[in-house]
Amino acid sequence: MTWSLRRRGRIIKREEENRTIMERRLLVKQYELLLDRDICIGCGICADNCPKEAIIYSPAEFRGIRAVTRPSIDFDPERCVLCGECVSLCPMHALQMRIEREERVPVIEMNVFPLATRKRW
Amino acid sequence: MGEEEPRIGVYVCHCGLNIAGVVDVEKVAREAAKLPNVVVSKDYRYMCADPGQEMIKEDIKKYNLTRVVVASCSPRMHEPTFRRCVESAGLNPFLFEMANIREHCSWCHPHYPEDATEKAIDLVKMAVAKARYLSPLEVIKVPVTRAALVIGGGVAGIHAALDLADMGFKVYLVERSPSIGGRMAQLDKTFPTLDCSICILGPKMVDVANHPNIELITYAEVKRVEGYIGNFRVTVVKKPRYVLESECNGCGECVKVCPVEVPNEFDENLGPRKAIYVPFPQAIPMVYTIDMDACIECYNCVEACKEQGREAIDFDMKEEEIHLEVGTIIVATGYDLYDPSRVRAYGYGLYDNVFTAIELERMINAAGPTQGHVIRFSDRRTPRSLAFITCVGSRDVKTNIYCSGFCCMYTLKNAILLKEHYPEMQIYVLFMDLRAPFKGYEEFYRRAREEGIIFLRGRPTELYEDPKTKNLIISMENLSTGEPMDLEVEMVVLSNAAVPAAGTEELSRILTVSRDASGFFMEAHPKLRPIDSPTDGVFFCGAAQGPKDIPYSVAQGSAAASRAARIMARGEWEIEPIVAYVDPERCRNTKTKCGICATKCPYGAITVEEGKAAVVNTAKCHGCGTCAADCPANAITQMHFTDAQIIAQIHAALEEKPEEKIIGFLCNWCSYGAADLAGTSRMEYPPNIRIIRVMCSGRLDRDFILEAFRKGAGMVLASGCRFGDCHYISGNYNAERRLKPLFKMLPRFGISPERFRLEWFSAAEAGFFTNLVKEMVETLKRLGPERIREENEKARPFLDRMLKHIGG
Ligand SMILES: Cc1cc2nc3c(=O)[nH]c(=O)nc-3n(C[C@H](O)[C@H](O)[C@H](O)COP(=O)(O)OP(=O)(O)OC[C@H]3O[C@@H](n4cnc5c(N)ncnc54)[C@H](O)[C@@H]3O)c2cc1C
Ligand code: SF4
Ligand code: SF4
Ligand code: SF4
Ligand code: SF4
Repeated sequence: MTWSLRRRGRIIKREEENRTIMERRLLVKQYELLLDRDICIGCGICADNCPKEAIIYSPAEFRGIRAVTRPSIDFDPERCVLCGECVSLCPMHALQMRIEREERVPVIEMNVFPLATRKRW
Repeated sequence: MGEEEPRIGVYVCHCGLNIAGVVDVEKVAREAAKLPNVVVSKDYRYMCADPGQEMIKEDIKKYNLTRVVVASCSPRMHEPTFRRCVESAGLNPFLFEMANIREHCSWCHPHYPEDATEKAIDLVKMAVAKARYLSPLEVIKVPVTRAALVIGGGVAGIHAALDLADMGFKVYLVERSPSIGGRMAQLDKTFPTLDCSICILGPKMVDVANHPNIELITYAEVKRVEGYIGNFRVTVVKKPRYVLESECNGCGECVKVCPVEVPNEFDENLGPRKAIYVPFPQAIPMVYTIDMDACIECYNCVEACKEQGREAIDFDMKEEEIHLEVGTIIVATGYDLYDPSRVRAYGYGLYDNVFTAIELERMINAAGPTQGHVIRFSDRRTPRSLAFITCVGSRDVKTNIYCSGFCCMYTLKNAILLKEHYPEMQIYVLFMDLRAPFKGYEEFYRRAREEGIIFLRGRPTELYEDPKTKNLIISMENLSTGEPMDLEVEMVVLSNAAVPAAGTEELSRILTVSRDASGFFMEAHPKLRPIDSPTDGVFFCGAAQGPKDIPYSVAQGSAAASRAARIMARGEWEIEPIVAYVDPERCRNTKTKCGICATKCPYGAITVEEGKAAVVNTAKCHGCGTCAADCPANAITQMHFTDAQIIAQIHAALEEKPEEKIIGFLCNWCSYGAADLAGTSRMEYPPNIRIIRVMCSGRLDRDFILEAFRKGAGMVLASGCRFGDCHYISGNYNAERRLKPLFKMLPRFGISPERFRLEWFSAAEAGFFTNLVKEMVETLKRLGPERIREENEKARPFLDRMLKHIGG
């Protein structure tokens, strides 16, 4: 059956100052994925490696040879499954994941790196 | 007509005084004797009694009769009796015809014996005229595959499958989700006895898994159904679960290592599950499924599975098509729940502490995400006060007008359960009406009241959240005191209605069965065929047909099994031969592209291939006659209701004083039924109407109406079931489309449009029918015979030209 009431459990994305927060609230568990836009340099490593292609990468915009905006990333809350892969790969530590307010990264806890294994297969 | 002239016997029944008390039956018999081809005509007290039937049988032999006409009661009453009678004397049962001179004559015109006698003579004349054109028909026999398909593995489908399997039939049970069990598997306790739901359902689910006659196909949907009763060919598409059902032993080691958590639909998204999962611990089959929307392909599970010495996980699994052959189909697809966020005033989805009843079921369930604790979203604390609001998305013109049936009872159940868990909690039930019929239900309601639950009557108009406490303030009018009131509680639970399961519409198309105004599957007859669909060999059970509680769903599951077994046990099935036939010589499609018939047939019974004549699949045809009326080349004949037969009836009815008569075309199931009921209820109306029975209003060719006017009819009535009630799904829509233009056409010929009536009424609306005839006779009188004759004269040249193909 399709349990049709989809509202519960959706990831809600919100902006708070220079942070983007992706939050999923279940009655018994709460998850957050945070991006600090002040730290992010827009390298795009996370976007390249997200196994659900949930990160949208926007390159810098140029006027002539001058960049007028920095490269940046954004999340698609419909696709993200809160695995934490992006968090584990970000060289700048701009990303953070919290479960029940505690800093936790599922892929690290389970010791998996999907992309690496995919290559092996 | 056969080669030899028909030899007709006419038998006029007195029905004691029921007919003879009004109609001069002897005169009717005498007049009938004068009709062409009638070789014997008699009257007798009770034709349906043994001596009456013996008389017919003897005469068939003595006079070598080739047709029999009985003038007595409604064919809906005794046609089968007399058909059997003539058959036992060696005559084909379809060479029998009936004139209804009781329900449609003596019973409705007791104060006009002479007119009634005249009408009875006309009715016999019409029957004799039709009888001349009757031809022998053979009952069609089709073989039946002794296997059934059950769609939907909720409690209703499970019972249907188990019953059939126990009777020895092969059953394919197709379930859309990864496990069978349906809604009942989600529930905590069940009313009115408060048994644990999964404890009573679980063993049944295991029986399904172990039964040698049941093949369980889960995570699958029916995509195509072809064929007909006894011979359905079904295509099922099975989604890949990426775990081999043959290899997985349900150890669950994979789950422990999966990094991805997403909301569990089975827990109403209140708690998490992994990307690889079973929806609940008692799931059947006990096989894990990978949700590819969530999986990040880390293959941790593959490793874990290998460590168990197995290789059950297969990422190369593809969607699979399964082909089945079955004799019967049972639909048990259950229901979904109304999305309460659509009732803005109740704030579901907006305020943290507003829940639905099914969410509460999962919370209060010890195996649920909170281990049986009822807690608020805002602070995960057990509320000290809680209000149930009933009828959310039901019994309201703004949402759904129907009553969702089981919500009152589950509300009481959950109120009682909460009181048991938390005796200190203040519990309110806000209701409009509380409905507790059936065994043990009212007692349950009484128990709830005795346990200190507070019942307040009224429909809440508005609900606010206190931003600090996250409590909810409900505004309503207390209907007991008439005063407006505000009620503050810490949690609100909405009893939201059952709605048709997602995919019901698609499935109704696949199976060519209809849905009712609320969108649930519609049964063939609300009282006498509550389990049957309009398509032969397809049955419904459980909440798929409308909201139902568990006992009712189970009873229907067993009922559907027995209805299906009735067909499969025989090994072959008989079909009434009143089907359509396409004359390949006349079908246009051989020369130009046509195929109109195929688009109009409500059952998809006609196949049209380019360049070839259309072909009716006899076993699929239900005999509505829509195609026969819509064929532009008049290439289609409906057996036993042929153009020649109906036109002969029209001609016979209008031989004398046509301008005083109304020709009424009535459909067997609704409008003819209403006329019968008018008779049995002894409602009186003027005797001017001459009724011609067709199976469906869809059969009504425009030519029939025009021919009646050409022959001088005063008025014509075309009628059928109300929209949505047609016994052939859409026959009446086709009739309306075809006949409505007559209102514009007739005046162009010079005929007043009010002389034609197109009306839709149910078999219960005898009063409507009676008034309709009265009204039509008023119109007839107002226009007067002079004017009618004049109009008819004026129209005749047009009509003669249009109806050249009919002749006469
Ligand atoms: C909150 C709540 C509490 C309730 N409490 C009680 C109670 O205490 N006592 C009681 O008697 N009743 C109770 N009920 C009612 C009970 O849930 C129903 O009576 C029962 O579930 C009906 O069974 P079913 O088999 O007809 O339908 P369902 O349980 O809905 O099962 C239908 C099955 O068909 C499957 N399906 C749907 N569409 C398709 C498709 N296209 N193809 C294949 N499979 C499909 C579904 O996945 C599902 O498994 C309650 C209902 C609610 C909402
Ligand atoms: S948490 Fe996982 S799914 Fe979500 S954006 Fe990061 S890598 Fe993608
Ligand atoms: S990997 Fe880190 S720094 Fe690089 S784009 Fe992503 S968030 Fe920014
Ligand atoms: S491959 Fe998918 S299902 Fe298996 S452990 Fe990884 S995320 Fe979970
Ligand atoms: S339209 Fe009616 S009569 Fe014609 S083939 Fe279809 S079911 Fe039969």
